[in-house]
Amino acid sequence: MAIVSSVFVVAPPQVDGRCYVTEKHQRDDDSILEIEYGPVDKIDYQTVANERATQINQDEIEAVQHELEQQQAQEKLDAVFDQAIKDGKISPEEIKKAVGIDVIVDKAIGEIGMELAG
Amino acid sequence: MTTRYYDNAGGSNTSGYDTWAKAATSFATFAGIFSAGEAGFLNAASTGESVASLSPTFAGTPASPNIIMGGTKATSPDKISALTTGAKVTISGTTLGVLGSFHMWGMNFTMTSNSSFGAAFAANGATVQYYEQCSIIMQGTGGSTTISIGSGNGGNSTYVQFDNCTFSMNSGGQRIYLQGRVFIRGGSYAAQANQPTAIFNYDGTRAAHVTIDGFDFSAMASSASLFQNFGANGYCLIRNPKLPSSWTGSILSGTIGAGSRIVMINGDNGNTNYRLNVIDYAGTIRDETSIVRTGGSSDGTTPHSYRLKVATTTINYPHAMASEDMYIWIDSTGSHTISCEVVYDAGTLFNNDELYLDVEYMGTASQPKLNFEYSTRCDPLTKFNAGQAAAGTSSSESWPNATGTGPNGSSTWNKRTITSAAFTTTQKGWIIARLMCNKSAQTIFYDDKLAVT
Repeated sequence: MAIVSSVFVVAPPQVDGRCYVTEKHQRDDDSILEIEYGPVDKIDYQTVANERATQINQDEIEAVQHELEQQQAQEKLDAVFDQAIKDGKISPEEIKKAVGIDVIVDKAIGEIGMELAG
Repeated sequence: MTTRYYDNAGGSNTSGYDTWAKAATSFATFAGIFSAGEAGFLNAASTGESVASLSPTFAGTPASPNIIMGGTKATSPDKISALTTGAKVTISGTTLGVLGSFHMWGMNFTMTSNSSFGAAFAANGATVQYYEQCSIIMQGTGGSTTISIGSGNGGNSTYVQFDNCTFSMNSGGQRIYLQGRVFIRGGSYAAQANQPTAIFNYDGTRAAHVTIDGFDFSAMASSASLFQNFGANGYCLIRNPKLPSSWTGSILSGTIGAGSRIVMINGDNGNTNYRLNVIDYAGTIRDETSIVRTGGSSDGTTPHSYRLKVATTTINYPHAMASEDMYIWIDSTGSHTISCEVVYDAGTLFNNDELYLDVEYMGTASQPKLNFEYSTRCDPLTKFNAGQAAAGTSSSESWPNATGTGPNGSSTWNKRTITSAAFTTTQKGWIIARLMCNKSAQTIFYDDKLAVT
């Protein structure tokens, strides 16, 4: 859902002469992301909007990357559990009954020596 | 209780770590020796430890936390002469996870890996971590490195507080992820060569209740936003932050999840005191100093009102965008009404199921339990029987700058008084009123100087 066009609307000035600015960023699925900022003195509003569109597109790429990393971390955690069960260090019942999952994680870290943090 | 010591600059790393001479030279070892409830000292001159990974786990619990104090080393007896910042561990690899419950004073965690990774503080459930005068510095330039605060994969129920702490990141895509209960009081963001495009993120995996009071954001990029995204089931209150000058950022650059709300009260770079910036799933609110009511709300110098815009997301009765709570003290018992003045541009008046006042009052003499009055909002049966609700009451108040084409695209400005139905207070006390609007994509201006009869 990349942003394909960005426009802005400048509201009438506030009492100090500064204005609120509303940007409307259109995505390639036709949805609109609206962002308001200010009040600001007169600036190059279109440049600000274009730079923000670039930022948002980049943020969304990185968000996908982050989600992938979270998924990999979860897979790593699952692998630790699987190994712990296989080695008889933790029973499946223990996991099923786990009220404090952190206790199990600590035990897995301690007994298998794998690093999970992060 | 044994007191524990960390001194990378002069300790001998001798088991027990219970004197300066025997002090641990490894922070992870230091953390691991604690029993719940024990205290320990950090030599503020300990700046030289560098490790590839760091996963310190303190035995402290919410009921019996550890107390870790950084300071100037003193002997006979072994302690510190004063609390001082300076103790530092550098993490060169891609693992940092700080576990356990504690109050930590004056520690610096500096991460230098240029690979992306996730550092985690209080990732396990049932954890209380209180950092004071500490620093979390990401020097590495990994493009998607995250610093996660609170409730991670390890469980819920975390409380993490930062008093006068410093945070810093070094890449456009780096973020501080907030989850669980997070309270940031004072402190600042420190700039490095590369500035993040947003400081925080809340992905909605778990609930977040965040308070940020008096934080100095002024060193972040003037175009940066406070949050990239703010997922569902979250609430963030930001009070009196210092923002960059000529800030073109927003409190949120991405999307907000259902049921979530971010409120920034008086965020500015100047000496204003009436700023309000709210982003809610149901709409937004901003302070307004142009379209204001004569004789209305003022800080003594600058009259102001608030501009409430309902989101274009499908918002409809009974879901509504709510103003912030407006309080007024009623010093007598008996029958009262509350009124709120509004103005909006629209060719067709908003009905009283689209714009109404929600009032809470003390209506029970023997207890503080609140009673509720939805002002003139029609009940569902009335609306059903009448086919539609009725328009609100017109007002003779003056809004001098409510002229020309307004934000809704109309040049017809409607001044209305939104008045509650009569209610009876049985105790003196605060009345809480919220203006509610569910007219999708429409904007209204309201004055929070309420009138009471």
